[in-house]
Amino acid sequence: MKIELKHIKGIKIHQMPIEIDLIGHLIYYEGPLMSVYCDQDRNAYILDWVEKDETKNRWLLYQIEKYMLADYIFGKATHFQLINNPVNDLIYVLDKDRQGNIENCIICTSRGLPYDYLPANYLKFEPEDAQNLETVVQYFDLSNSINIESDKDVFDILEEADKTDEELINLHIKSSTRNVGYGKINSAVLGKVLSSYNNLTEETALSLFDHNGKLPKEERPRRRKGELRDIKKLAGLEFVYARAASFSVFLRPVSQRTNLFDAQTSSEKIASKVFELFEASTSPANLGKIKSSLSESMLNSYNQFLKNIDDCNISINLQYANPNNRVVLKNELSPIKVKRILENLSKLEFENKFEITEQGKFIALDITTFAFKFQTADDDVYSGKFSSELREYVYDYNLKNEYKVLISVDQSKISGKKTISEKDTMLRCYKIEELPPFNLPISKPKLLD
Amino acid sequence: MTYKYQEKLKDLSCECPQEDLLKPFKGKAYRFVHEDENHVNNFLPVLMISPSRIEDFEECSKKCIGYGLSLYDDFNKAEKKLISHLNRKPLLADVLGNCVAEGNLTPSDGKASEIDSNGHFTFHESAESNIKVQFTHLKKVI
Repeated sequence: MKIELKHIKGIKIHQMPIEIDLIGHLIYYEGPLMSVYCDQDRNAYILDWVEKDETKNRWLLYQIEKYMLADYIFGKATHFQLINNPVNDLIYVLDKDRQGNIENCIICTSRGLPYDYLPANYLKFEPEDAQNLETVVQYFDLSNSINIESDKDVFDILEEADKTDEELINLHIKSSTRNVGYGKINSAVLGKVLSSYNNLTEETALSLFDHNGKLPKEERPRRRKGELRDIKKLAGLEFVYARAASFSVFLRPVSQRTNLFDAQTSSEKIASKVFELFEASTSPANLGKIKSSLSESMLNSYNQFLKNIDDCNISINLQYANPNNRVVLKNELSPIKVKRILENLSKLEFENKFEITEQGKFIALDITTFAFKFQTADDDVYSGKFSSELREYVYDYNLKNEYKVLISVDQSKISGKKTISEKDTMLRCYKIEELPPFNLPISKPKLLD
Repeated sequence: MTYKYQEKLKDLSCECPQEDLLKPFKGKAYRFVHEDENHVNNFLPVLMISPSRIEDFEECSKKCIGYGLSLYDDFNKAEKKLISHLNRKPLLADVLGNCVAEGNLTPSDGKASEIDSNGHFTFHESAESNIKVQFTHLKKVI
């Protein structure tokens, strides 16, 4: 059966625009299968064998950043990442005849490669397959990269913030899949990450600055128009620019508020709270310590942010810098870390018990099970059971009259469950026109109807 | 010992094979082979399959190795390496095969290079030997 080389979509060129010299082999089995070359500017290129027919061998030639080569050789990057992150996203597909002459040359992008040309996405460098490895390391001076942390390609956030003298947030997104590459990102992934990060900062802003929200509902003053929107604005971010190196997004606060007696800006307070959550949530004990300072909606938005990272199979280096007071905050959320945090969040237990006085009407009454549904003037609905003391009076209530009621609300989140369960118990109930004196003790239920 | 492909070995500019680097081999050996037991390339050295690839080998000693057979002294090591190669380059199965075969070699069959940490060695087959018949397919890995 005649074997034909796979069809590649790309631009055919007649002459290679670069001249390269062999430095060493990364995979050598009965001959070279993956080799490192250099051009006259000492840029690194990989020549990867992919296919053959009766007369030709097909190779992929692509330029890679030296740090990528170092990451691959020192086990931090995979072969799949190398092929999917060539410089300028260009790959030369070379068909060489038996004498090694190039018969065909097509330029394409990594996305144009057939799946049969791609290595499995977990395969890292295997030193025993290499030849002249020391030459490769020395020629490209890769040994200096050994001691540099894995986030060496992450930008110096303070240096970036100094350029504009503004607070800056950097989300540096990496992935071992094709969703994120050098200077490119799947728009759905970027959208999910930015939107869920924004939700998290908004909920954090509400948790920090919505002081009225913490008051019992009956004591809460009527909200002025746009009050919550204004608080959320403090968490608003705008896209400033993106830079290539995986995919790095820079954001800056849209507006901020500074308290006269407090050196921290509102955006720094929000960032500090968010980064405190990143740090604490890696340990169930630390998460338990700060849970009283977290709102449920903040935790829900954090949960969603993490789920998006997990779903998209990405890692994010998050950084914040304030050039004025030199504050820098950093954290990294890798897929493994995200899974651990999500598990910690699911184990987090909450209990919130309070009593609330409301005015409104019953919308459902069940005299056999002593259950009720009560709708307040603000359209909040409470449903639950009457306390044992009130049960003998249930027959006297109706859906027509207006009542002032005292309800015990018991909110709890059990370990392993994602939702909060709420148990409402009606403790007192008075028909509106027959209200008892204001200072009537609430411990003893009394029916005046 | 006279080795197979003598006329090719003589054309090289270096001593091939280099006797002082070889040792007799006795015991079980493993080789990557095609699923078709009668595949013509199953027991041919790389430079006999693709003579033009001689240009891929820079040094004479490497060209010489190209006339030897790649074998392993351990089944697990052979299997692991073949799986790794095929997961990395799926179409390499058309060149190397996708099975591991096992054979029993005696010192009269040829001489082996030093065995590396992966269990790999190059075996130069003697002119009188036909190791192909001593091997049987053991496992298809992918």
